[in-house]
Amino acid sequence: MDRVRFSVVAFITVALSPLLFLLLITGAAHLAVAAETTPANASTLSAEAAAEFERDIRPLLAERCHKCHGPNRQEAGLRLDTHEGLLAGGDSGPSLAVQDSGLSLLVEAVRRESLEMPPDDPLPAEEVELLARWVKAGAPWPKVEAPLRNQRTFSDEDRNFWSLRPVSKPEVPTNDGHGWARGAIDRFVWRQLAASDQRPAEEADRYALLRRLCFDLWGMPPTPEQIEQFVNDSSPDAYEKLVDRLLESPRYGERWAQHWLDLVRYADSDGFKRDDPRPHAWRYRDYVIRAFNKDRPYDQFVTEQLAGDEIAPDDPDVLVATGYFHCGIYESNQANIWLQRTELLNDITDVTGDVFLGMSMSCARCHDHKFDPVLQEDYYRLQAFFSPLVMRGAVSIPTPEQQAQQVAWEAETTEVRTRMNKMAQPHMKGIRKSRMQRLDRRLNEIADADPSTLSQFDKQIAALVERQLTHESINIPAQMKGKEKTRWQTLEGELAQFDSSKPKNVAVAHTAADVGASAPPTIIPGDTSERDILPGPLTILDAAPAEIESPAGASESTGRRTALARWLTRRDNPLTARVMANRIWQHHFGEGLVATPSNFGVTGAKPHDAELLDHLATQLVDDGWSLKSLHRRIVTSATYRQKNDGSNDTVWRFAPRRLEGEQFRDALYALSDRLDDTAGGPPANTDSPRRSIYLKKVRNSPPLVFSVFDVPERIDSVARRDTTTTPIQALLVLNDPEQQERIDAIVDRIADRGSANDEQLVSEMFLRILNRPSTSRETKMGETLFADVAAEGRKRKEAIADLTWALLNSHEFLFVR
Amino acid sequence: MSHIDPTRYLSRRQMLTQGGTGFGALALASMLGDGARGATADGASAVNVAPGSAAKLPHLKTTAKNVIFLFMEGGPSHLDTFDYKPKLQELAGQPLPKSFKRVITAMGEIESPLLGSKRKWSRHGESGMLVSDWLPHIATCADDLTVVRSCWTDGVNHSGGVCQMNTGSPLAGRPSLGSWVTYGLGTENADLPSFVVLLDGKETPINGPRNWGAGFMPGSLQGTRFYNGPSPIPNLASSRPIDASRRQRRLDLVAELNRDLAVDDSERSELEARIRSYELAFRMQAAAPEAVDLSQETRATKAMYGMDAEHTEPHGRSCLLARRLVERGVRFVQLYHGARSRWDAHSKIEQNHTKLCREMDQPVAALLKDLKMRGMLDETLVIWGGEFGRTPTSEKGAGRDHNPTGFTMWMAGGGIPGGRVIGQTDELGLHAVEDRIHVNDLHASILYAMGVDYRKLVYLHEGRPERIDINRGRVVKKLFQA
Repeated sequence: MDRVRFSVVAFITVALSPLLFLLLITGAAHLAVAAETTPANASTLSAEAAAEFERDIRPLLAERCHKCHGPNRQEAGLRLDTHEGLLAGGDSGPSLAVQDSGLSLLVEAVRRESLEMPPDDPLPAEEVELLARWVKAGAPWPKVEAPLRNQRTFSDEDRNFWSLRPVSKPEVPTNDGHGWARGAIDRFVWRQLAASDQRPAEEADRYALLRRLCFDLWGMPPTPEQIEQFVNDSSPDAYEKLVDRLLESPRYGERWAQHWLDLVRYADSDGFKRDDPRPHAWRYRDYVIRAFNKDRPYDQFVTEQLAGDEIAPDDPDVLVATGYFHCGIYESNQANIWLQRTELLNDITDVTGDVFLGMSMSCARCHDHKFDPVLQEDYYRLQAFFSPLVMRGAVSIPTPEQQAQQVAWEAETTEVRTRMNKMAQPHMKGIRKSRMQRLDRRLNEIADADPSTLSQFDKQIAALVERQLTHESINIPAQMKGKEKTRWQTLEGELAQFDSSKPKNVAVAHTAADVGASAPPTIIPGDTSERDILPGPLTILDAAPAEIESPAGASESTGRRTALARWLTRRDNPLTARVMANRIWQHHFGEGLVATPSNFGVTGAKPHDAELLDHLATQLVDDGWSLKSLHRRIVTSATYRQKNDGSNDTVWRFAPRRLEGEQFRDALYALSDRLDDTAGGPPANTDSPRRSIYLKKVRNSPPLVFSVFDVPERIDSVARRDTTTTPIQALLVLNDPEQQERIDAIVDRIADRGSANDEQLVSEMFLRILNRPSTSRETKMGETLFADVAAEGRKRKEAIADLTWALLNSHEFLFVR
Repeated sequence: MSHIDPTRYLSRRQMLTQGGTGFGALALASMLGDGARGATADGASAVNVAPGSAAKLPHLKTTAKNVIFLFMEGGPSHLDTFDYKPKLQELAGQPLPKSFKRVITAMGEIESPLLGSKRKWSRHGESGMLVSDWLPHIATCADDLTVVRSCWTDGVNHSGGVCQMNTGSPLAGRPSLGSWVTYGLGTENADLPSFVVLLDGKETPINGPRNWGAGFMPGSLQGTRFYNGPSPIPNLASSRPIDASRRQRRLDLVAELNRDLAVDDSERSELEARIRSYELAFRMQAAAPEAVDLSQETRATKAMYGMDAEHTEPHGRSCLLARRLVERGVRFVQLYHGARSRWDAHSKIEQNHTKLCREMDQPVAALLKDLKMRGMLDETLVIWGGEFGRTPTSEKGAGRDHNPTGFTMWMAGGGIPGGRVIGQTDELGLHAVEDRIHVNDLHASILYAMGVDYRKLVYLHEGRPERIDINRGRVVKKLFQA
């Protein structure tokens, strides 16, 4: 959890270096330490001084000085990124040495009284003042607890960092907690419990378990029928059978795909100002749902998304997986297409690092990572896997049969289509002309050039230009007027006569493709040597470039992405299985074994139980990367089944959590039996009773119920949703007309088909809404309400409405526990 | 505006957490208006601090208590409003001289001929400030304005620019300025949200609610969007109104349902937060209708804000509402004018800006005068500007492209002396050259104006100490020195 702090860094109790101390006591005349300097008396540095240094001085030195006097270059022999370097100084002498002016050399230089530093832009007066004050205070330099990384070398400590070590196969503890443990997970948990002298909570009752499982695995509440079935099932494996039933239902994929779509920031619109519709994105959404439902092994799931076009170029079902590359935001009128290519590549690199590696790579885009053993070069080694990608728009991906039909249809319709093309041409030219005017001369040259004469890089640029010129938002027939329009419509009619021979339901989807069998160079920005960075794993894991093979069935592709997928899914990759096992655990328990699920680096959290995590990661691989097996292992554990009884356990159990936006919305529909469970297809309008995952996700205008219930905005990868509580949320539940309609439907459903007996009805309502029977006190409370309403001469339905309202606004309904 | 009775507070607190009937009891108290107003869930202070906020502030001598940020979305032209460039008139029709460093503009129009300004300029106030004839009303407030002609930003497009002006970074994900202010200072009125966003119409600004999002800070610090029109707060009134006794019965039922729930500490804090949000919702139902009820304003006031004319009505309504909210202790009010980049005059800037200036000029001037008349201007910092300015070169003949490298914003009130111009752009208004003020500096300075040391207002996020200025801003002291 983030915590609030007022001072920046608060550790540091370290002396100034011995070297400075030596200078202080020897004090040779021309090398005297600045007279303005208060002798560094303290052998320890106050937290305040340390915080000031981290806040004011280190960033200043880094920004203004390190470029020339830092780790890579030491102009005039001076290095200002270490305390030793500062004290030793450079060719002109120690930085703190006092000059005739009475100032130290450093201060004199930034005041531009002798040396003029920095040479181009003088420091603003405030920064000069900061430096002068700091030198006057003795130039205190804290020793950092986690030393900043010394570049390009790795220490044993780096190599031993927990997430980079090979996944171990820890021995399962033998103690089963007096028979409490049901499986291996519980034995690990018991060991933790015992270590802190705690006991597990007792098992939750069947009602609580069913509600928990349904929201967890399906994202919606159980029906009264499901409740009946489960609580009356006396077989010893009733729970396990329930888990199997839930995992086999398509509702499971509709719930768990959502977690994945949060990570890849899926949406049905482009984002940016225009936020144009992205009408074909849903193919990828459906792929993800299908993959979860079919228990696609995770290694295959990874490979299909990263390299589906290389491993199965003829299989539309796999090709759509590469829609992964098109989930980010896209600006169809970005005039700086050079920048657009860079931004799209950076975005894919960042998200891939977050999602698959659980490593926040973006810091390394501009410099070697300050804390993690990730080099700047590693960022571009990862990016180089994607550098050949062509960022094109959606394409149609017919099956071989559809392809044959298409050829036949095209032959039949050549004539009419030629005529239509002829009509469209001037409009297309007009659009092209007006759009190309915005682009610089070189872009115009590239767009007009014979593609075979272009470099791979320029071909990619040309594809980005083309994508803008053919963007889905361009509607040519809409530009036609009068007679022209009539003629066009006539031709459309003629063309429609051939519809019967046209292939049906050809998928149109965003897919990945390389620019060709060779890749454009990947160059680190600012690297004047323009060295081509070859794709490869994190250097610390394997310094050699990845082995790239030309893909068998896709000769026009480099095979780079297949190589990436192969590296990610290798058994000895220390991150992939750990990261995914942790995500699964996180969504079941509310928090991951590693609390920062997309940051397994030094700045991320340490695992609560590293052995348990490794156990799960090993199991995941041993189960053939089956996610359903991992779900089963987790939800059938005694740990998962523990009751939430208000005690403050410190070890794992199902953490009570507020319903997510989609769960809340789906539940309101489900409670009136109105939820439409049609699966898949193009996005539904937001007022549709379809499940929330199928609604159109327009980035800039989410439905109120989603924005107030913290559904992510789909700009960045989100591994853990926020849970906010705002008055607007309360007002939405209390007063929003749409929610009221859904609540009215629940009331109608209960009034129409509920029991005529008050006591019975109250019990039914509790079962339907809170998924448990009412206690006798609650039954009484309900009966009193019904009686009062009747006594007041008001309709029984009013009492139903009152009780429904109260149940829906209760903490218990909004929480899964 | 509130008087706190600690004994009442205590009993209320007990009802909330110990008695277990909190929801119903509180709601009852609120609805009966018997003193819940102004009392806070956290105790003795009248400043209701959102959970997780940095309650220890302010750090510095405070000048401004509230902020009204007038966001002209799309990027108004500084060259036709506050930054007169004789040289631009002289060179109009010619290409940008070679001596000017090129910038990448969104539409790549930097090589098009220079476009002279068609405005007439005159001097205003005792300060003799130059303001164009597009803003005749604001010009009458010249002696209250500090015009900053040397702003610059990184975001070249709208999404990045608007995001940066709100959060300090062109990349999404950081908390907005209003969230930082709320985090640092909390609210002064527990009956209303601390950070309110007012839109002139249905159109949402680019980036949508992210512009007032809390980023990585707790969601309770996010801005609350009000809407333009007769009911500015969504769902403030029930779509199924029921009588008070029936409603009370419902609340009692909820309280009873919550009463015996066995919850652990973390869930209890959520339960309390929920009860609190319901409380604020109920208090808003009680207090907000009055706060947003413009019928209490005189006809003269409304006319001053331009609410009697169609073109000025929407922004006039927002400006008047902003004054009422600030008057009632709302800490940070942000107004959007021209949502969906309407100021984005790539072509036909004459038509575009004439219309937009007319919509905005009178209401904004009225806001300044009204605040001043009521003695509120000293404590209210008013900021005006867009995400960037526009180029001296033309686009599509008579438009201007985006210019992030030099543009104008102004501030008024909140302890900032008026009648001054700070900073300069080059002779053609392309680059800020003197006293350059980056968006991060602007944010640091706004916090400074509110008495908060931006370097001390730190939020620890994933191990990183985060600040509003992303560790690169500085307070522009000049703003505060007469």
